[in-house]
Amino acid sequence: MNETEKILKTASLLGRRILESGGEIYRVEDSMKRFLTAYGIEKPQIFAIPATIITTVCDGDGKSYTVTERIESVSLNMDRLDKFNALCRLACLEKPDIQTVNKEIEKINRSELFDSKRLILAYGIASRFFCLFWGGTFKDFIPAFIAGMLTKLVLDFMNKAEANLFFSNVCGARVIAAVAIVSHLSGFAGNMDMIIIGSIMNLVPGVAITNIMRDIIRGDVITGTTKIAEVLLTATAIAIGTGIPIALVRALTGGMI
Amino acid sequence: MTDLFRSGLYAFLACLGFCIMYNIRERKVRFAACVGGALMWVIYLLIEPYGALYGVFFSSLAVALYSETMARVLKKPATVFLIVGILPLVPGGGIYYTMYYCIQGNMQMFVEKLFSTVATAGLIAVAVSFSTSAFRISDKIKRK
Repeated sequence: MNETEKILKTASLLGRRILESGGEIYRVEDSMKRFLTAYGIEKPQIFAIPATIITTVCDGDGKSYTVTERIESVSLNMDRLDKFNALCRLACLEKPDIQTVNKEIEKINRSELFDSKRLILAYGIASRFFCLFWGGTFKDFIPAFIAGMLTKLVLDFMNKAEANLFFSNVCGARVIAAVAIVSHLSGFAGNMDMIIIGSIMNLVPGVAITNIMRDIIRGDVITGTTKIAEVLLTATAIAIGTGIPIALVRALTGGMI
Repeated sequence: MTDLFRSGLYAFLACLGFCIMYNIRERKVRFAACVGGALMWVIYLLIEPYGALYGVFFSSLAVALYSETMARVLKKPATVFLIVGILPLVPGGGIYYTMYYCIQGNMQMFVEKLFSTVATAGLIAVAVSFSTSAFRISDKIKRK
């Protein structure tokens, strides 16, 4: 493997990691371009969409090399995103040798995550405060907390079973609706809707909504349309997931909820 | 006034949960991100009497500007603050009520909710892109 290839491989890996930790497309393209240029490669051709990064570069003899990275899943991780971003900046300034950069990428990729207990708790906290936030009372607080934590468990299970995005959202939403309906029918909590709304905030694609227009206005229409499709799909999944149990119980109880 | 404060506090705490989900580790950054969420909701509530969609637009604009500023102060990517700060406005309630009226067969309310949900999502997106573009242009000019 010659020097150009090594640099290209590292740049692609860096781009992949940034995208996987939830970086925007322009950040990926920008970082890779700056990285490659800093290491002396002229006019790198980079094309990134949420699922793939394709990079082609030419070495001094006019020979071209291409690396394609297929990205299967994205999990938001702001800590890593920040570290990869900082690494890219540092590499552009100081140009350490490629081996060091590779090692650094590996190191960041192994950086610690919050343990699963804390994550489950975080889902619960987010959903119960969103429940209060949307106008729930302190009685609705506990079911929302439980529904939030259950959502995380369901999503984790679905993730392990390699279910697709649509189906795992449907199942998550269904569990939320079930908890809300049970607590409503048993007379424990007054506002079924607040419990559901608070808890589905965990599933709603807020990040994609924020990034759609930024991509489209930047001229990246492919990414924009992909994200619009993703938002619509997730929103539909949530609506279906919460809708089925509610419609069912409505039919069984004769319109009690 | 107390209502304003209370829902700001709830927004802050809800955002804190999301900060852990998104693996934001530094205390300083976490705090700044949650303040963004609370701030944007207070701004929204202040503008809302003049029209809910105005509220959505201007508070998204405010939180986007806040994120870009914080990104420069704390030397972190702006996305970190943006995705947390925008959360209180994301139309989770809209999705639910659209579905609910659909099941009820209340077509008028269904269409109304559907429209307002889509409009809210769209306005957030537009407002965020406005401020991002403005900051990128000003950065380019400064560098030259």
